[in-house]
Amino acid sequence: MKRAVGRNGGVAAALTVLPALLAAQSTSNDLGDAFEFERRGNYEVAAQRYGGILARSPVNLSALLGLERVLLPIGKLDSIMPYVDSALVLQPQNRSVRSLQLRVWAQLDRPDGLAAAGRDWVSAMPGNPEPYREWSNALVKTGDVEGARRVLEEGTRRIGGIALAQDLAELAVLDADWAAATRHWRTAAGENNSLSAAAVTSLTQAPLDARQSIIDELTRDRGDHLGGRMAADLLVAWSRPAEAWALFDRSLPEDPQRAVPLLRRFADRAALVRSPQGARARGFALERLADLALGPAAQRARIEAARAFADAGEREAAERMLQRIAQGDGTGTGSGANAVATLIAVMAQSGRVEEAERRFRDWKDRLTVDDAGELRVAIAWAWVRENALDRAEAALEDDSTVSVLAVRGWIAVYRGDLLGATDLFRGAGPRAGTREEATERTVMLALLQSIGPDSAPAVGKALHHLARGDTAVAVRELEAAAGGLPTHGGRAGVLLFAGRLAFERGDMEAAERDLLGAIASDSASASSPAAAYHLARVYLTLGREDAARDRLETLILAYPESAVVPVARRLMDRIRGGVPQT
Amino acid sequence: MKRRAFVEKVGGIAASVAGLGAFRGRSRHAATWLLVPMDADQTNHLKAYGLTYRAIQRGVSAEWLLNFRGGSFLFPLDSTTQREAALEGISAIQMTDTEIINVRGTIAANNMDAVPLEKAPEVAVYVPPNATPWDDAVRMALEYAGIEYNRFWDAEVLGGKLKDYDWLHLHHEDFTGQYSKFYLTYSGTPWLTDMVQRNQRMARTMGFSSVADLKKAVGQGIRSYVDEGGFLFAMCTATETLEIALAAEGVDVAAQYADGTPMDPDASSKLRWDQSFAFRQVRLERSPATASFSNVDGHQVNNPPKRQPLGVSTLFNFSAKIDPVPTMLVQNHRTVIPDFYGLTTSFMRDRLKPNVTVLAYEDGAPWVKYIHGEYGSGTWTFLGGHDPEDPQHRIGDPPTDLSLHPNSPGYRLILNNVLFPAAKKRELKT
Repeated sequence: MKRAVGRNGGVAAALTVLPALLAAQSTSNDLGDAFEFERRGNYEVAAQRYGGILARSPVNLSALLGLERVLLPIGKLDSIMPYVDSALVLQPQNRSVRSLQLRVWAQLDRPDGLAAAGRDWVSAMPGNPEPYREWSNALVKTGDVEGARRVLEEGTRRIGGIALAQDLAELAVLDADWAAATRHWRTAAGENNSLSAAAVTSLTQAPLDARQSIIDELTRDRGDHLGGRMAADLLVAWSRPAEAWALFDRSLPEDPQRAVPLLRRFADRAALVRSPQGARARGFALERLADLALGPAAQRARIEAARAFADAGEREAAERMLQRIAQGDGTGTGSGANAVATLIAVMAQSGRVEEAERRFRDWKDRLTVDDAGELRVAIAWAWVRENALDRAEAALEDDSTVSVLAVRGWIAVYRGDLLGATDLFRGAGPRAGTREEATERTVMLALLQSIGPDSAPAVGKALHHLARGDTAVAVRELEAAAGGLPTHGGRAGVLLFAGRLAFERGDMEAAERDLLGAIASDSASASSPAAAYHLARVYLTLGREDAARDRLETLILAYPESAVVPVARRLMDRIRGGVPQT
Repeated sequence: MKRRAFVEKVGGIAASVAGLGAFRGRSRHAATWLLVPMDADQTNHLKAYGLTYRAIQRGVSAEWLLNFRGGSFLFPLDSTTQREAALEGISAIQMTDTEIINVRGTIAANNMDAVPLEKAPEVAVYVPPNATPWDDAVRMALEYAGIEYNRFWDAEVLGGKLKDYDWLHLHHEDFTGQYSKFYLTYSGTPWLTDMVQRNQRMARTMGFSSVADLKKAVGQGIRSYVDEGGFLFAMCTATETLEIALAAEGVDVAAQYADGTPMDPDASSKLRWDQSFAFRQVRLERSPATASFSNVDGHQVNNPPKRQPLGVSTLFNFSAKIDPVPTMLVQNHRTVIPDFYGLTTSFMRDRLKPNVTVLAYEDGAPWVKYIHGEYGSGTWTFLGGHDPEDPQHRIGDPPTDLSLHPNSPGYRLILNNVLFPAAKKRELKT
């Protein structure tokens, strides 16, 4: 019997739950139908369906919002109000329904209704800032910014505290009242420090003429340093990192545990200012951070500081950081070895090659294979620049990686061994070094292959001057070397190369002479249309647009299959202003 | 030549007859024609329009072969056109008289037509003096295609200079005088400060108490231009704001920051849409902080709660022989074109006047993209969005380089508009 009762009880429970389940299922189906009508643009029927759901479930928010969406385009938004009222009778504190009510009155341009709804919500939830906030937002939507401010001020008076300070600040920004915005943001962030980032983002938009008064207001002494740090953040955002660091430095808390994350944040923000000043400010912040941090964190900060100082061109400061890292890591592994590698690269780059090589010898067993390989290449290039090709070759030791093959190829070029250089560049392939380096090798390979003889010491010497940064001498020597090459054996190619170099260094006279020489020496070679294209660029730089256009037209019509035709057409477009000068 | 002028010149000369007459006395085997195909075989669609425009300018009797190979152009073979095509990288095919007879047979048998292009229209673009071409898709298209145009602004419109032009373009000018409603969001930025100062100076110079009043007067000048036979092509926010300005005579539709007085609370109900070209029953956006003007635009790009995602627009397939004007406006090698945002991206279908012709629409959406209509003796055409090859178009984006988009179907719509006033009309049914 008990079991029977139990079974009957179960059936009874199921019968009780079933209608509720079925009702929920039905509402869900009706919502789907209504939404489908809405999606098809059949707003009248969608409105009827949403209304039907609300008649059964007055606080069904999905239906209420759907009804709002579909009544607006058919101009019947006011008919939503009875549904809103019914929902509020059941749930007078429902924020979504209250917001919707305000929004609808605003969309209907009914200030009286809006005010009444706002007051009603305030009465229903006294002491809560949200009604004031939403009421004010709705007023902004109607264009009544002044009314919105009055509502927020009334809320502040009644509730007290800073609950609406952020809203007042945002409203002031909307009204371009930067003094008020700064005051309110300072108040809001003073109470809740996490708002300081939002405050800075908001105040960043201030126009140039309002910025100094914002900084003055924020740095007025209030017994804390928050304002100073906000001002420093703003100065970083306005690309004034040097002033920012000075201000930030003064505003740092004494407690290292609080100072460290603030320094990290400042350093990260300063990294966004892409200038030497930005890098320097970042370097200072990281150096200070390294002094306050402990162990590996301090070492990492010093490495970052060294990089930042190097980016800023502050080589001495960078070395100071690196020396400290190297001294602080007796094991020669990890960050210490990293720092030494960076230090050696900096030394090689700055021309202290002997010292760099000595340090490399001392440390190479403790460096990673990749770091050691990169340093060999860096030191070899440093010797190339010092006009010591033998020492450059020796610095590469017995390394046979593709990067080293590429460097050996360049050394062969500078010795005039064109055949050897071609083999080495082919061996290095396209993957040695960066993409730009691979492109440079491809350009050089094309030039080498256009030259008939296997050995051309004069060409090599000229290119070595180029590698050492003496472009003027390189151009002169290339011109001279071209004279010694056969007409169809590379003369045009070398003159084209010389002409392009002269153009890059701004020597238009030499550029014109060399490019005309390239065209004249072998009009059938691929160098000729390329020379014509670069000659047009020279004429353009000289302001001789007609001459440039003539050259380009001749090139396009005479060499329609040439690879330079698309860029020639593009240059024509630029000449007549048809595309932006990017 | 303005529309009224060439409608009056209706000749009834069939294009095919004119074409057939041109080869009398010549060998049928020698190439005597140059066909510029505009289908997928064309290497540079945009420059083909410039080639055609300049040929007409030189007095060459070109024809627009509507719906034939994507809306191709046909010229009698001449060395200048050939040379220009080679220089610009435009595909062009030499054809014999016999081949052209076959082409004309195809045109006669299908939904195609051959429209003679008579006179290169005088083109004008309404733009502030300091604007660079890269702010305006039409100017970019004109510059890239090599079509000459003149620029002018408020003083020239009010000074009656429009009568010298056949075709007028407007882009993202805000004719409600609210500086595109960027005043609050971009407060303090140098470009906005300059825009405000420049407009205020112009209003003072022309004797208006506010920029809003100045722009209304300019809008009315533009309406008179169309009424008297001009061709108007507007894009982006110029479409919507010109309409509002025309409907708002005597009604304050500008926010307080713009003219010192708040917008009339009943502005929406006071607007007179019988004064405008395209729209009706429009409600204005009242918040000065929302960079949206009204509920005309379906996409509301700067109104986050109402912003709609981009879709694709389909060009309507008109009957070329019956409706040559809309057919010309939709010539393209693609029928479905990716959408692109602008301050005004699209036009809600239920806000269009009944006599508006829809040229492009989004399937299943309540908005359309591209519309056309007549007003008085002239016509107007509106294309929503800012730049067909910059779909998002955020402030500060790099300028569009059309040499990277020589086959842009969106830009073709713009250039169809530039060329269609050149067509010699036999009749106008839109």
